[in-house]
Amino acid sequence: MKGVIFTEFMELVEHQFGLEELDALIEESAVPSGGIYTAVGTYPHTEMVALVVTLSKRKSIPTDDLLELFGQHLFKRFTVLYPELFNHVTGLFEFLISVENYIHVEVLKLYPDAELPSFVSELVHPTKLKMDYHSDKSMGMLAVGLIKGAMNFFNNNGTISITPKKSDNHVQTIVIELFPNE
Amino acid sequence: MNEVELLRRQLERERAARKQAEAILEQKSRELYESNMKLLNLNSSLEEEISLRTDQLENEKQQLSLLFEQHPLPLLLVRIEDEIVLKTNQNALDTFSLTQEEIHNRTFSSLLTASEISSEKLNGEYELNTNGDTRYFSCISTKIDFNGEASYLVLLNETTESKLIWKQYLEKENEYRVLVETSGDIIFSCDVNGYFTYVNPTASVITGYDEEALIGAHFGMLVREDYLRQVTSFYVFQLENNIKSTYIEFPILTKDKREIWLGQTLDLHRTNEKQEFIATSRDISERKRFEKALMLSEEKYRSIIENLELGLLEVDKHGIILRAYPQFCILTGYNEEELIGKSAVDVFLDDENRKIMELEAQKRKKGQPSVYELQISRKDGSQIWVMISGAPYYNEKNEVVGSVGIHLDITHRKQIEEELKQARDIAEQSLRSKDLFVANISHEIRTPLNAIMGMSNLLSQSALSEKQHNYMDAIQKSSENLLYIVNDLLDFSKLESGKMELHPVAVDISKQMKEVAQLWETKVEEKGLSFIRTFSIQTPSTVLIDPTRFNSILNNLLHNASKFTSQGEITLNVEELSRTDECLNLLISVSDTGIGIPKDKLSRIFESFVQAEDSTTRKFGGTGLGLSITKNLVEMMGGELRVESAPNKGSCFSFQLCLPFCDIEHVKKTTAPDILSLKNRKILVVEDNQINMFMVQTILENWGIQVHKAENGAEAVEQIQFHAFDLILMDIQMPVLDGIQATWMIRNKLGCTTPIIALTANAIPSETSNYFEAGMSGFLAKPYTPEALLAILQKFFISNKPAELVETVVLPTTFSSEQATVQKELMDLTLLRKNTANDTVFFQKMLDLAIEETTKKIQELETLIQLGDYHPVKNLAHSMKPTIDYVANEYMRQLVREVEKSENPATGLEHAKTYVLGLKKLVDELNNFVSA
Repeated sequence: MKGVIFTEFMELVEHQFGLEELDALIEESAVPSGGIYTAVGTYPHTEMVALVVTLSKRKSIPTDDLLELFGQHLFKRFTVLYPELFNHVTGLFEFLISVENYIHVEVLKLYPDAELPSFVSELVHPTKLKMDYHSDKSMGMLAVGLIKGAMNFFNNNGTISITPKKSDNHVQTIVIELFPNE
Repeated sequence: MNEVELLRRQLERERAARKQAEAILEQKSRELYESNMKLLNLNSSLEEEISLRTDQLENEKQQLSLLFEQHPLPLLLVRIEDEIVLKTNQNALDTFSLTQEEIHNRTFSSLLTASEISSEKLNGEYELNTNGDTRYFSCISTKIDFNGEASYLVLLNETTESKLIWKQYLEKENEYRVLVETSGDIIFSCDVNGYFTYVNPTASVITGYDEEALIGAHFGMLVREDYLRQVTSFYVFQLENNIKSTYIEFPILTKDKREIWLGQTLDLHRTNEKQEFIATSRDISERKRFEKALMLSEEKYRSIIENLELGLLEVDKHGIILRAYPQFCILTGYNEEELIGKSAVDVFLDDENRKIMELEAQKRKKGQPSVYELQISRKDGSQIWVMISGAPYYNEKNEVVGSVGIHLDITHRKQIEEELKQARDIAEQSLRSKDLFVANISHEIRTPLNAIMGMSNLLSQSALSEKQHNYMDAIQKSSENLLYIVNDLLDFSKLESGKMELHPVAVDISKQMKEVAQLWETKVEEKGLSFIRTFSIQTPSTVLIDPTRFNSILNNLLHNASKFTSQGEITLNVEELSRTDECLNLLISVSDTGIGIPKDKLSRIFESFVQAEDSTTRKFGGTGLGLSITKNLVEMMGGELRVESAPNKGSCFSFQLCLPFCDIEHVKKTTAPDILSLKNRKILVVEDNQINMFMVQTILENWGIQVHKAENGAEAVEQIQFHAFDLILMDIQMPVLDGIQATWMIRNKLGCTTPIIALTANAIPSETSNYFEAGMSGFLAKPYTPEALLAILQKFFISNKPAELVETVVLPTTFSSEQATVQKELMDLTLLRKNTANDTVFFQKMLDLAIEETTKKIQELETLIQLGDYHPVKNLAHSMKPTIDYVANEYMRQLVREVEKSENPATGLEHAKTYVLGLKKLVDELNNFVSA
């Protein structure tokens, strides 16, 4: 998992709960890296899981909620950090479909060692997109958060649903349905 | 935790993160630098690469040019636009026999002509015609750019040879195709699932389905339903077991529902990619029909044979049973399994029947069929009679491979035969008894009758009153009539049983006739009739004739004539009709002036017991046998008795005889002892009686004959196998093997034809036929004189013809028990003296032997009498007969015969006791004689 995810997470925790809480989180989760992350580095995703799970306990917030929130935050940060990704994109679904075919391709050019999830998208209806999320890293809710962030970015309203993660299956289906614009 | 501490830790994490980031960046920078360096190097080596490649290209161009020039196949470069040849290699020039200059600027089509119109230019089959030869090329062209011009690179591959092979292959294939298509058999192929992939026209002809209907169809649609399962599993088996070739026969149904039998050979073809069946099927319906007809026919005959209750047995040429039919099994009680493979002879035959079978087997090996009868043993051990008709059977090379025997149970028939035989034996026995009875009674009557006639004759010559004289006359006449009747009866019984035999001897017929005439002259004249005789016979008149029987004929006719004539005359006429060197031809007739015979009765008068009128018997008496006997005797002598008669005028009986002359001188010469012809002859004498043997031996040796001796039939048979004899003298009754049995064996088993003469004391005529039946050549009755023996020997040695009969010496047969009491001396040596011909040494030796033998026999007889066992006594008496005949008187001779012949054992033993007493006296007398 890319270092930027970790640095953004650290910043979010510090911003939301204070330096003291961040320090306690690092101590308690006892992550091997000791909480030392740089955006150009790459770290095991288990460290992220350990951090989220520890935070969830400490703050009594469900991990799914934490991940969704982090996802929305991260998307906002991406629009700031990598504005060139959004230059040519006109709509939410166009953007979401290009994640697999364009963004991930570009990420791999920069970071050949990046471990990325994959999406198989199907436009069921002009207002309904079905995305099969393939990942062995239980980060489905992070994706949902990111999509929510994107929906906000493109000023769309709608519902996002995700099928539960099954232990014997790495596929979760995410369905995005937009409310018609007034 | 205070804020400072907290910040410090935060700071440390930030520093560490920064250093980490710097290290990563440092790494990335180095990689970037190295990439730059590589890029720079790449640029500089690129120029070197280009010059290297340019060199390589030049090199390749040269190589290609070389390749073009030296390519083993002809290559041409042809401009597409006008098909002008731009360039060729050497091989192409050689192919067309042109130079570079000559070929240049010629068009491709002026060099080669296309064999067939091809869609692609300069591709495909082309021909080159030079001097009448055609060469074939396969052209392959590739578009290339040649010096900026669009061209074809044309490669020529000569296919003349392969085309020839292909052509031959096609021709061959055509031949095969024709073979397959014109074959009279169905030929087809099908896939492993049984679907037709090819059928020849014959398939359509036979099945009625056309080719389109058959191809792709399953073979099962043709096979008759009840056979489908069998045929299918047969081929599944072939497939599973990878059997190359199989043959099966099954019926199919044609389109029009006819049934056809096919004999199908099916080959399994396996190649790498697939496997299929190729089959040849022949229409074998005709053969099947024939087989079925044959089977039905076989079945028919088998059932006929079974129903005929004939047991069939097949054996190979070694007699080993190959097949036993059910009826044969029923016949023998075995089942077929028990018999097959066994020797028929071993299973069914005992030793005796085995010999018969061996003879039959020899015939069978020579291919001869035969019918014979055998006794075989059933499984339960019982014996049955079977009639076997055996015939050989042959293999295809016409060699005898075995035989078939048809057995018919004839046990029942054999039983009946046996019963019939017994019945016949009993009947014959009783007939013999009758003969004997008649003969005996006749004798019994004749003896007292002789006495009556003799006495009355004497009495009539004594002084008698006239009344007494008349009585005497009546007695004499009655006796005479009775004598005729008895004689007639005797003759008749002999004639009836075929035992009447003629004994011709040398007789002066003229003299003989005169004697008869004289006798009758008296008698006829006594009756007041006149007797006329007219004889006209020249001399010499000595002929061979049986005088007794000749007299019988004359007497009978004259007797009749005188009996039926009350007045007038009786004529005996003898006329010599002619004579030759060999014989005298006489006509003899007896005529009378008596009552005559009515014409309608003439034909019956020669029948037995028939007289012309029933009243005749009452009036004239007689048996009615006389003429019947006379007629028979005349016929036996070679003549025919005729009669001419008219009632109340008289009758005339006449017959003609042709009598052979017998020169008296000649008779004397042949009967005189001509011992020269006997010298060194070898004669086997078979005789168990020592006395007889000694006597015969002495007589024969005196004549210079070599005598070989055998004590019984068995010894004789043995000797005959090792020596050749000129003649055999055979006693009849002997121990071990009697004369008749021995003769039978000599004739039938040894195949020996040496004359055999029976020496027998059994002088009963009915016995003698047995001798001839057994194969004897003649017989001599015992006791015989040396003359009789000589006569018979000469007969054989001179004429070499079998003797019919030889003179026999028959002893008087009258016997009276009273003689025993009045007899003073039992010894009578007359015969011995005669036979020893005054040879005193021989005579003495014979006497000694007689005494020795008789003394020994007396002891044996006494023992046997005490035991009360008649049978051995009987045999002993028989064996003593010759000795007794030589040395004892008539009383003893008769007594020994009584002992031998008694019907009743009790009386036989009684006679034997008397006989022993007589023997003791005889021995005393003989001893006295010898010592005197």
